[in-house]
Amino acid sequence: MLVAVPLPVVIVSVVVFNLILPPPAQFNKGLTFEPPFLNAILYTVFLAFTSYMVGYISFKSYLQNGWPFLVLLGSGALAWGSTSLLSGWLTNLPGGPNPAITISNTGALVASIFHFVSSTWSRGPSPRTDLKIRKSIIILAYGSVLGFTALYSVAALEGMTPLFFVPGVGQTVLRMAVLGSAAALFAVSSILFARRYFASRSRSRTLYWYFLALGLTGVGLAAVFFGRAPGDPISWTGRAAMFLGGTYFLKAVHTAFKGTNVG
Amino acid sequence: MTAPSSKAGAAGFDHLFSSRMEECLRVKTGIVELDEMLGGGFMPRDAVMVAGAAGTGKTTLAIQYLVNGVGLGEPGIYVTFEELPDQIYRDAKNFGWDLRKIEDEGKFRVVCTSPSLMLESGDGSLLDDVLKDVQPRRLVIDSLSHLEMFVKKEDMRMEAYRLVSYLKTRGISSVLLWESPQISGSSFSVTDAGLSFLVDCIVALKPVEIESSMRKALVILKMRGSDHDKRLREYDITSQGIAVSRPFSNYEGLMTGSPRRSYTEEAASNWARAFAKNK
Repeated sequence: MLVAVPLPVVIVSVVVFNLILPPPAQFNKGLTFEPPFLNAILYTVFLAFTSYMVGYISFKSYLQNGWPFLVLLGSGALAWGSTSLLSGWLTNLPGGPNPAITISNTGALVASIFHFVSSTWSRGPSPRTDLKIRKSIIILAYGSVLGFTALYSVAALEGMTPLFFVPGVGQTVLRMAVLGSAAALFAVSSILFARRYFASRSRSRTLYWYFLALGLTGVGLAAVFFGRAPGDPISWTGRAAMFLGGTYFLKAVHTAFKGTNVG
Repeated sequence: MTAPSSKAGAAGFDHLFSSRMEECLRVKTGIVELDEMLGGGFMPRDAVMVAGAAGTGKTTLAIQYLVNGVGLGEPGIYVTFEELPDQIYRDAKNFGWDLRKIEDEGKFRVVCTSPSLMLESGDGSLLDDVLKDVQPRRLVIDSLSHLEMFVKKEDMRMEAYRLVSYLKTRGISSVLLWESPQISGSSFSVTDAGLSFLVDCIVALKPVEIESSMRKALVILKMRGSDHDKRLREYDITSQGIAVSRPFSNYEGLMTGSPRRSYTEEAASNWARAFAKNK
């Protein structure tokens, strides 16, 4: 149960910071901390790497078992990891943080949709599909996610996507809608997986860590939603929650490898 | 601009049509999962060797192949050097196969003979009369191992070649059973007599010990002129005959007799089970 403690801690911290920090219009830039490359490294290690591990094991698992929800799970992880990787390295562009925020938030929404659908999916049909067909399906799914990420990133860098963040003004309504939806869908997915965990006779440690990871990611995104500016205390609280969520994703993969799956 | 795409479409259709045609032409075993492994079934007129140790279900698989063939409109003959007909009828009845009934309908025949008689006839012409009578599309020899006992080791290959050629020239898809205790341990040969080269397809049945229990594995070692599933699949002898199930994806080294868990496959299995509903 101790590993679930960060969830309420993050929520309380965001509420407290939200009360004590000045509103966006009067926010002092001196309260932000955004050194070059720190974000990039943290995003790469805690979000991209961990998500790719989830993508890898979901890939192997789908080939072996053929259950469609594994494709959704892996695609969601891949979308989250890839957009996090790109946005992390694009944060400190001379033109401002808008492209990075656009890529990151859209990726979060795509990932949350995949996870939400996956969490509502039943076990699915009997895995009678041929291995070659399964391989084609998952390669097509992963390829589409990576292709979309690449194209969308180019569009964001070229200024072909709607604005998500305006320096000195703050986030746009679009960003609020995208980020809010992503946070809500991650949170709902977490709750649905948690229900599945508590309802099952064989309570899997893998599922336990995974629904906590999704919960932390959802709460982290919600925290970013309330942030005054990139790098402010609320943003860092949200990022810390997402990084911890990444660690929990990795722990979920680890429990599957370790074989001590049932808690 | 439309011409190339319509050509490509036509080519695609042709390919799809020909692959469907090819699938229709296959000799189906009637065991759905095994047919999937074979890409639809055995190739027509192929000589197939079913090799395995005693008790692995070679005879059951062979009779199931013939009975299912009758259901598909392909008469069959079962040539045995091992068991008496009554014993065969009785054992088949336990799987729900009424061999007497299909024999009365003229779609099936049990030929119980001795290897020496078969060899005296030279090329298998001992079967001429029964072939004329039944007009079979399928034939099982149970087993080549018995034939081997009556032939010098250096002559076995020639005798088997004569038999295979005799059946092929008559358009019959044959299944030759071979008791093969060698498919175990570190040595890995199907026959000592070099028969593997004579047949077009080899299906190996093998008992494997996993975590102190005996399970059965089936693998297609060879299939001329066709792609096939290379994975080892678990099978069981049920009250309805042979039932092939999932691949042994969590284990490596099954064929060498030293199975060990594959960590990645085990993790992938754990991962799927963790998220699946209805546990």
